[in-house]
Formats: sequence, structure tokens, C-alpha cells
Amino acid sequence: MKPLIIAIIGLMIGVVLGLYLPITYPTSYSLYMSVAILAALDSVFGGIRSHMEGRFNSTIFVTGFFGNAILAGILAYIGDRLGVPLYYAAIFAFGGRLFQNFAMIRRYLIERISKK
Amino acid sequence: MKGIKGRLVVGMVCVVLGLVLALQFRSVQGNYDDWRAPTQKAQELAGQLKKIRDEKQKLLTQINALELKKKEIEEIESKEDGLIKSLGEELEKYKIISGARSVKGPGVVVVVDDPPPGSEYASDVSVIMVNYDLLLSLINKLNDAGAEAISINDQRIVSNTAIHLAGNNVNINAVPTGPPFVIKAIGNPDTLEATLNVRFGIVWVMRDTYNLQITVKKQDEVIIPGYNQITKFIYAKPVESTVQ
Repeated sequence: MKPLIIAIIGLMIGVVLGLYLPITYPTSYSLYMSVAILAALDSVFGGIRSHMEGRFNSTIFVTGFFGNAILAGILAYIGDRLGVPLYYAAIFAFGGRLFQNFAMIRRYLIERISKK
Repeated sequence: MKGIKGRLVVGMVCVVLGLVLALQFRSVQGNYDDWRAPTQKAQELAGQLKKIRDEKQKLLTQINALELKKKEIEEIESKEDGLIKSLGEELEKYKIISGARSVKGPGVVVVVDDPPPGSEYASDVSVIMVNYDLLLSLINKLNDAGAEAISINDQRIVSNTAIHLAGNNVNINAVPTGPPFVIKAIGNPDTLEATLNVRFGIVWVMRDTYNLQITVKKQDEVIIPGYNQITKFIYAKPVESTVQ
């Protein structure tokens, strides 16, 4: 259970930093950021799931986290340039996987609890 | 070794995620404060608008009641004294000239509206509001035809009336109004109508060039409200001179 605590502490530090650091980005990038965040969230849930399955690999996790986020952001940006709402693709793909990952996590948790 | 490294990496990634989440939250929140009002805020504003409109209506009825009272008092006074009576008549004359009195009489009613939605000329912007100078032109023509009193959407046109586009409204006498514009004019109905409807005249231009919906109707009785704002002369002073 230790990695989960580390993750939560990391999140809290990040939120506090984000709220108090004077960093801003143009509001027009808000959409790309939101898609990137969705991808990142998906990666985190995927990481938790793989950890529960016992095949967690930090390299895959980190590359997936940044790779997915950047890819989603770029995809949304290109879609905007082309006039095709490509960010829907990212939303459906990552949103769907997010729920799938969450469902697996829940299953493992319930199994673990019922075993005890 | 590997476990510690892995945990460190997870922690770092979570810091980054939290940071980005907080940034996005702050950015979106800022948007709402600035201009992209969410539905809740819009509803709130609509409620406020309704309240203020009700208040305005109440105040308007109050104005009318007080004006009636004032008139009664003046009448009673004038009955008592001949001097006051003649002064009152003089005052009435100037009120009519300046447009402070509501007047009625024969005239025309002109209704101007944008091209109907769905027609081939319909556009996102209001044509008549963008080309509000057409209204000024119309007033000019009416005055040319000898109109004695003119109002647009119940705003009396007086010597210092301004008509201009302000955001989503056309301000007349600094009162925001919008289409359809109902222009009432008192004068000889035939002359007024003929002046407006002359070939290649103002109505023709508005209908054919700007594709506006415009109707001109002669009426036996048109009621035009008075100008109810206060005109103050701060800079202009009368000159005592008879040489012209």
C-alpha cells in the first residue's frame, strides 16, 4: 500500500505548488491541457492497475504518462488546425480506458477484501 | 533499489499531475470570472435584470402620477390668477416646441425590422442596428416633409437627441432599444407618406439595398410621448444681441 500513499502525497504537493506558484498559460491552450490531463489520469489509473496485477514497470509508467499526455495535447492541437475535432478521439479513447482501468482496480480490491 | 526508484518515480509523476491539475483548475476558474459565465451566473444576471426592469416600471408609473399631480396643481393655480394663466399657456407652447409635452394628431407610423430569419438576406448581425444612420436619414426626411413631432420606439426626437450603436443596443436619448423600430411622426399624413415612399427615396433604399422589412402606415391619430429627461445648459449662455 505504500506506493499509493506516496502517490497521494505527491498529488497534494503538486496541487499546492500549482495553486501557489505564479505559473500561467494562455487560456486558448486550456482545451489541449484538459485532454492531456485526461491522458495523464488514465496513465495513473493504468499504473495502479498494473501495480495490483504485480507487473508494474516504472519505465513503462513514466513514458506512458508523458507520452500519452503530450500525444493527446498534440492531437487536439492538430485537430484544431485541421478543423477536425480530433480531441474527441483522445477523450473517447482515454475516457473509455479510464473506466476500464477503474473497473479492474475495483475488482481486484473487492477480491482482496473478500479473501481476508 | 528498484522498488525505491520506482516509488520515487511514481511520486514525481504524481507531483507533475497535481501541478497540471491545479493549473488547469485555476485557469478554468479564471475564465469563469472573466467572461465565460456559466449558466448559473447567467441566470443570476437575468434575475437581476428582471428585478431592475420591474423597478423601472414602478418608477415610471410614479413619474406619470407625479406629473399628473403637477398638472392639476398648475391648473388650479392658473384658475386663480390671470398672470399665472397666461404664463402657463406660454409654458405649454414652449413645451410643445421643445418636445417636453406628449402630443397627438394625424401622421404616419413606420415600422422597420431586420430581414426575416431564414430568408436569403438574414445575417447574424442586425442590419438595421449596424446601419442605424438609416434611422437618422429617415428622421431627416420626415422633418423635411414637415413632421411636427417624431419618436422612435417611444423616444421623442428632440434637438439634442443622439442615436448610436452601443453594444447590443441602439441608444436613443441614451435609452437602449432594439429592432423592430417603430417610428411615429405627426404631420400631414399624405405628405409624410409620399416623401418616404418616393421612388429611390429612403424607404426604397432600405428595402432594396438593405433588404429590411419596412411598412409605412397613415393614421388619423398618432400619440407621441414627450421627452422626459432633463436638459441642462452648462456651457451655452444667452447672448443679448439684436443685430443679425
